[in-house]
Amino acid sequence: MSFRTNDAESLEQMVDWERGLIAGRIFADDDIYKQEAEKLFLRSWIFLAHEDQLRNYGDFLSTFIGADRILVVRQRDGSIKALLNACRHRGTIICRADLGNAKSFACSFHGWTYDAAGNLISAPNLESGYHDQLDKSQWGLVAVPRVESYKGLIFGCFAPDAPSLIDYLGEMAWYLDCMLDRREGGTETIGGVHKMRTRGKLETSRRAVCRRQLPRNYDPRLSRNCMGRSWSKQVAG
Amino acid sequence: MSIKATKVNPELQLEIEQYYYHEAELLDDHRYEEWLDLFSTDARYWMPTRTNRALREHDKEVSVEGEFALFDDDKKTLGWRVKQMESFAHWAENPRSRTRHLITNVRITPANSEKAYEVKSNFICYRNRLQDEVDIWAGERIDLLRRDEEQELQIARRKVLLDQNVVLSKNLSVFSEFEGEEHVVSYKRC
Repeated sequence: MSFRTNDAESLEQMVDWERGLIAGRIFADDDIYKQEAEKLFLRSWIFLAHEDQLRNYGDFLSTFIGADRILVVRQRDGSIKALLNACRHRGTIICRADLGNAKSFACSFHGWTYDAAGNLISAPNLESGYHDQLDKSQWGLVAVPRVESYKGLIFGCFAPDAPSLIDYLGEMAWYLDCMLDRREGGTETIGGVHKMRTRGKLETSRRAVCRRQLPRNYDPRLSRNCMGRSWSKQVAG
Repeated sequence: MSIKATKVNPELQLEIEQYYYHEAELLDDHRYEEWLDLFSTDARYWMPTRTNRALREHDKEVSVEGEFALFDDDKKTLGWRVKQMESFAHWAENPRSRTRHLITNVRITPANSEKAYEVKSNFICYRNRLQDEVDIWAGERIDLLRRDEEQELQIARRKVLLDQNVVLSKNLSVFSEFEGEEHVVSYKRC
């Protein structure tokens, strides 16, 4: 049975408020996932990178906000930009490396080239292909409008009207401080990245990954080990 | 490594290949304690992670010492994994995977002592589990093999290069090249 979840009545049917029960399909329904992607992930502050991973001008890291590929790049002035990793010409991925250092990104499809700030700096055949009418200033990479850091952790958010990162974190910041404030020097990252894929339909599997990463405190015997090793090392002040 | 295959003693080549076939059989037959016995007490078992890099930074593709690894074990922690396998509380391996470890392209170089060899080999490990899940892992192993007092070969060091960037399987829960990374196992429990 096709189950429409984009109306309040259908969603209401999935929750039994009196007995505190929810329908099992809530965990796997693609339609709900799509709504979550749009209504939650595109409006939330999403962790992108640790500042230590981007030490120098041109250092970049490829990551995701929901299903969208994001390039996080250290700028010449020391600030950090998060750019949609999609060429403005045909939408292809402009940077296929996971991380590294680059002062420009050239799309492998038709050669549109962007600087580290996402500005379009060149495209081939400007005269014959675009009649000299391509206004390069209008075709830079789409930037994630909000990028803020909390004690070394860089977050990005697509919603211009979202609260500031610190307000969004709210009391959760206290829990982050337990990790981030142990030493005066803060934290730095350990090189290398664990990347796993879960199987199944992309939409539902992504959500499964999110869920699995959330309740890390359910079993301290396992997760303590995992947090300590996989997250960051403490730096003496 | 220079290619001097013709200079390898055929008996040694045969001995080491048979050793690897034996190891593969122990794994495919789930005889993990016997498998653990193949390692020296000071053994290191390491599987670095890999990342996609621009061509000009290709030399940084494999994580280095001190960075993240998929496995970074000594004999003690390998022993923990064996214990977990034998405990009937291994969530990823209940029911057990069906595996075939294929070891090929065995290349032997004498190491710094007469009783030690650096051996590179290639592997393909086929894994089938539950109803219809199939994984095929390919890669290279770089071993330091050493003879003990009884002249038996031991694995003193193993570096495994898995030819994947994102690990495409749900877990790495079969031995030799792979075993359940703690946090992977913890994911399985959710």
